[in-house]
Amino acid sequence: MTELYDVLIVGAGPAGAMAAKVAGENGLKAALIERKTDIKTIRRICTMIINIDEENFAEYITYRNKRFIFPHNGFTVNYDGPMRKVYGFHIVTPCGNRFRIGDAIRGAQGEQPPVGLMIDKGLLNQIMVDEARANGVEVFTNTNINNVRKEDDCVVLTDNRGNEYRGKFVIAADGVNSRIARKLGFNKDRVFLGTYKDYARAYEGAEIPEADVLIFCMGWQCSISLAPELPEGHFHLAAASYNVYQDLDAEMDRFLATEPFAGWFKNAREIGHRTSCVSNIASPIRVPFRDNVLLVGDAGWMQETSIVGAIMPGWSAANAVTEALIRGEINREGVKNYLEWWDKYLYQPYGKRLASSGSAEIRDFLSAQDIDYLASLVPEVQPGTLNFFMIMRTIGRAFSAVLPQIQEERPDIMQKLMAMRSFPRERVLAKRKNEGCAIIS
Amino acid sequence: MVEIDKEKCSGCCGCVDHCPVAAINVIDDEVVVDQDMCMECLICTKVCPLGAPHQVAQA
Repeated sequence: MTELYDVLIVGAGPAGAMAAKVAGENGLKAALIERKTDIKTIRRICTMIINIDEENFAEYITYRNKRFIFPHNGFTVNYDGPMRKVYGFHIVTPCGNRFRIGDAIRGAQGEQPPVGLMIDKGLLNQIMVDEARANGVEVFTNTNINNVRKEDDCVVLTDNRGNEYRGKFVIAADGVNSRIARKLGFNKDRVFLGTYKDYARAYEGAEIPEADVLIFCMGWQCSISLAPELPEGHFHLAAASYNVYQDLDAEMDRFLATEPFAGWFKNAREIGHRTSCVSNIASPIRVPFRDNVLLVGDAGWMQETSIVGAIMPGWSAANAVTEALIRGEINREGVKNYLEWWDKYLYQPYGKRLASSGSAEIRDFLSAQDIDYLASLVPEVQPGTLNFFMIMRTIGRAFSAVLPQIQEERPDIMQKLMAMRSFPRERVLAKRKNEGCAIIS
Repeated sequence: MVEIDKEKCSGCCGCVDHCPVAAINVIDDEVVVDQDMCMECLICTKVCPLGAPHQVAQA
């Protein structure tokens, strides 16, 4: 019989690393299991931003004295590494019109505070894991957890070499495509929202105006986005689609050959290895608990709980497990504080809404010229935010104000917008299912 | 059988996550197909944005 841990944590991303750190600080007998060898290296596409000084899941994070402070939940996370300020989110249309959420120009002059700090996420994870290890948490790297089962007194995880790990509780932080969630049957209750295939190239020497924001380029046959990277002048250009058969390379080349974007990349040079990311997207899980396994971060969400939305559940889950062990309640009742926390701050305000997402693709309804026209209607800079839900609200507010003008000037576009809005969700999801890879186990 | 083109692979683990039988693992930070477990459903070749997993004739 192998050792019995108080808690096993699967995945050393922000959620798992934070859970391990808290488990260590709380004195639990814990192990953190990660499939990579080097926790510090992030090999997936990632914009690595921590949202600061605005509301995110009822938290207002600030950075001071080399640590991120989470005042509402009441904890801090140390980080002493490279950083870059980010001021918001811009939508750029095919002719170069911009819809600005956040002012990068005033930001660069110090007149608008940043809404996000770009960090080295791998370093952040490593710092948390090092702290966990210093507090006695065992760390197993190069270990793929492929199976999970419940026994009478514990949960058993099996790795690719056939080794078994036993824990009273398991915190599954294995990300958006969580195998643990699949194996435990969580996905049976979820709505399949598509397979998101994402691919990026990194460039140096690109000359991008108003660059210190995330840039989303509309009007292409796939989603094209541009994000600054930590070193000055470095960017990554990403193309993504819900259709796994789509040629993202070809569309990226077409983008790079079209003005004004061709000009931005005139002197740019591709660097590093191309990166990628594939996510099977399913609706967020309402109760992230089954058989003494707690899901944290993206494992129980859809995708992009973001770094802060992963760290907070990691913290909350590890504390709930500690309370359960103190009370000797190795069951759902024992960790009820985590389940209530998840419900109050993630599921009720946001998860429920995401569960009903799945709207028609804009490109199926609006032409590049239509999108150019729409962006020209709102030249005013909107208040900066990097909170996904606030971005959506800002877009909604700004464009509902100009609807009468659209109706007056371009009734044809108004008609297309109405058709897009009333397109049945079942047909969107059916299309995504055909073009994707529905969750199986 | 399915092999991973190491030149193309970025190590994002999309295929590892999507493999229905967990035949693809990360070993020493390299994505590796376990040929004994692989049932050649080719889901990995479909989901990879870089075209790293590919079918090859049995040696």
